[in-house]
Amino acid sequence: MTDPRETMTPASTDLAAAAGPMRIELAPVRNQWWDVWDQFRRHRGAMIGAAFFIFILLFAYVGPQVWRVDPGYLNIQARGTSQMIACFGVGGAARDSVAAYEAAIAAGGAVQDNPPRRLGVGGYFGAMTGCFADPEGFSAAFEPFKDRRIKVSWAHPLGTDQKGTDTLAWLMSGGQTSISVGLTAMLLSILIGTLVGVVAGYFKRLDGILMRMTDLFLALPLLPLLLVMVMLFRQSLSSAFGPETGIFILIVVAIGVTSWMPTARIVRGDVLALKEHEFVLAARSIGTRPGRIIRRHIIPNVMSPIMVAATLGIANAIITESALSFLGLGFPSDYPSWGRLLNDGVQFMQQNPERVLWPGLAISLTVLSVNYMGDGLRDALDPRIRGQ
Amino acid sequence: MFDAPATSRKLVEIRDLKMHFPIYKGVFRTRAGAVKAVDGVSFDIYEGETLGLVGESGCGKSTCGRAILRLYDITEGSILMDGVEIGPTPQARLRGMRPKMQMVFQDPQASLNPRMTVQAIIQEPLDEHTTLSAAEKREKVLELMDAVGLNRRFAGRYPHAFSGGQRQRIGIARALALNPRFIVCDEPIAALDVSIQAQVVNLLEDLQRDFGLTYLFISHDLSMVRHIATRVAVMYLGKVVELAGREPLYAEPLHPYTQALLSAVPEADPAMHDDARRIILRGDVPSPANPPQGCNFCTRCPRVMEICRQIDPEYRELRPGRFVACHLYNDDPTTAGATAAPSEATEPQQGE
Repeated sequence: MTDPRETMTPASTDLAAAAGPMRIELAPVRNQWWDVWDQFRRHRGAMIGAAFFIFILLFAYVGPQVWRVDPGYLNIQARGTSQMIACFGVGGAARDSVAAYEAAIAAGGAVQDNPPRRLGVGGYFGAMTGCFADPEGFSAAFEPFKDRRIKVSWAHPLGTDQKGTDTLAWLMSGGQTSISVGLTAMLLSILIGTLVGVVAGYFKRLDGILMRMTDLFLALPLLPLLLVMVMLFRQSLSSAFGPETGIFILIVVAIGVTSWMPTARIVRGDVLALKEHEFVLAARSIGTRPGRIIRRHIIPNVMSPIMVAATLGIANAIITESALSFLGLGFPSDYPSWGRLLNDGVQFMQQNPERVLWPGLAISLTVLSVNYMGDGLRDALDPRIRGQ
Repeated sequence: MFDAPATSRKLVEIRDLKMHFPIYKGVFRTRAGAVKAVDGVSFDIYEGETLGLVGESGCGKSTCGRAILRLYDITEGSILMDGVEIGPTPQARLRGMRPKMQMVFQDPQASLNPRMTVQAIIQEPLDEHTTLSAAEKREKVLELMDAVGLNRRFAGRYPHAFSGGQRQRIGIARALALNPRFIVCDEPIAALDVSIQAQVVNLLEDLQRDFGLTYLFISHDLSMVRHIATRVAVMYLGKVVELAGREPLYAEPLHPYTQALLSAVPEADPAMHDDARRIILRGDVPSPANPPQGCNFCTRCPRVMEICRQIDPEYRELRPGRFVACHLYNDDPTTAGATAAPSEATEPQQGE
């Protein structure tokens, strides 16, 4: 690593040697975070995860600037629109519909109730292109076939729900809610969990009481507790911070204070083991104060389990938020989030499977990408793995 | 070399040091007793000397070293560090004393934080106790690395990139950072290869000469202690059983335990090896939570007497600079020296 410097300036090293050991040319002190970044870049999964997470962020926060459809607008005429993918003929319905479309055209509007089942590849392809090129016309021609009707439109590429709100717009602004709730609640939960875990592990005196408190929280029935919290504080928070911010704070706090326990237990266990390491004893023999020992020696060495807990925490927070919304205790029903989208779609899963497909995919891919990022970050922060 | 240390000034005086770890039992965690890891130890360490502390595993050597540095809250006793009593002082007020007394640890792997660079590790004492600027600290760290024979280029590396011997050098550099006067070396070579052991011991000796350090050298390697120590204390089950200058102790061990311990030193010469008559101790070391009545060694002593099972022998100065705790020497101190060394035990030692 440092060799190029030497070969470039052999004269200076000779001089240094002549002048004594004091002036050996040293490589400039490099910021450690560059090493971390170098290692992170080498983790393929982490890079893909990071790229996807950035994509999701852009989708949720910049997307609405591009796709300027108000997620709150109810377009009654467009309600029940399928997504454009339906044109590919998912599930065989469109194959029949293509035939029906051709038959309808051939009959000049006269409707045949029993369209032919078989269709050549060319006809299928042609019909599909027709569907993509003119979805409205396709839908109109298909209108008479009651049970096989298909409704698609480029105005709603991901379709609409039963009230006529645009799924794509909803997915975008729902992403904002879910990601911000997920990240904030995870941060809060990690913060409480790490604090309790480190204090309980390091200070023996507080161990018993803190861990019994953790057990108490673990033993609480969470859902009723959340319900009570929401009932009690919804009004006061809404009036103090406005309905949306109030609910946001309430949900984040509710999820945060009910999900820190596993983190606290894991961190405590690790701290108990770390505390006995000789480097902590060495720090004590130097006279380092407990606060600094914790910051300098304990916390960096429990980063791995914290990181894992954090990535899992995001998933947990997003899902808990959706459960709350499902029970009608989360955000108001006209306020989009991935969880609500998912729960709304469940009733229509038979007819419109894509209504649960997209939010479900968004949640799981976000969680997966955060997981991979956490994995890469954990490796990058460990100097033993770094540089290998 | 010297029976008496070069200077007669006492740097550390330890009187009746006790370190008991409580045992809690049952549902209500009631105190059921204590592990008497160190149970009434008294000795002095003179300025500039190396006091070797030897004994088998679990006899309380390391605990004793840590207790002297007040890494534990000791149960009882007095520790005078350079004239200042630090025995009962609360931890918070010890901070000011810390720069004077430092420690080198046994496991060089475990004693360095894997997440810190060498620079940060050696700098930690400077961060805690000095107000130097970042550049001054960096320069000081590089000087320390020179002093312990580490390449300056390695300052930005992490401990895992070093060999055991190099890691131990990092640990020594950290201990030296604040110009201490007293260093407890807690088995600093036990985890190292034999070839590296010599390097580290020589480094410790060089540093002692250059910086005027005083060592408490804890080890179970009797030949290494013989090499480095000025005086040697032998511990058994939480007590010092014998303390003497290096040469007298190795030439003429008084306490039966010391005799047994020294007879166990491997003999390099094959001819001598076949000749060596070893004292084989029977039985196991009693639990420090439940030491026997009377002398701690009475359960295994080859020369046990009735009195040993009843009365704990007093630790006393038999001759100037020669301490022993054994009933064999309590009745008639004048003849003790003659009867002290059973010939079969000392023969192999004298050959060295």
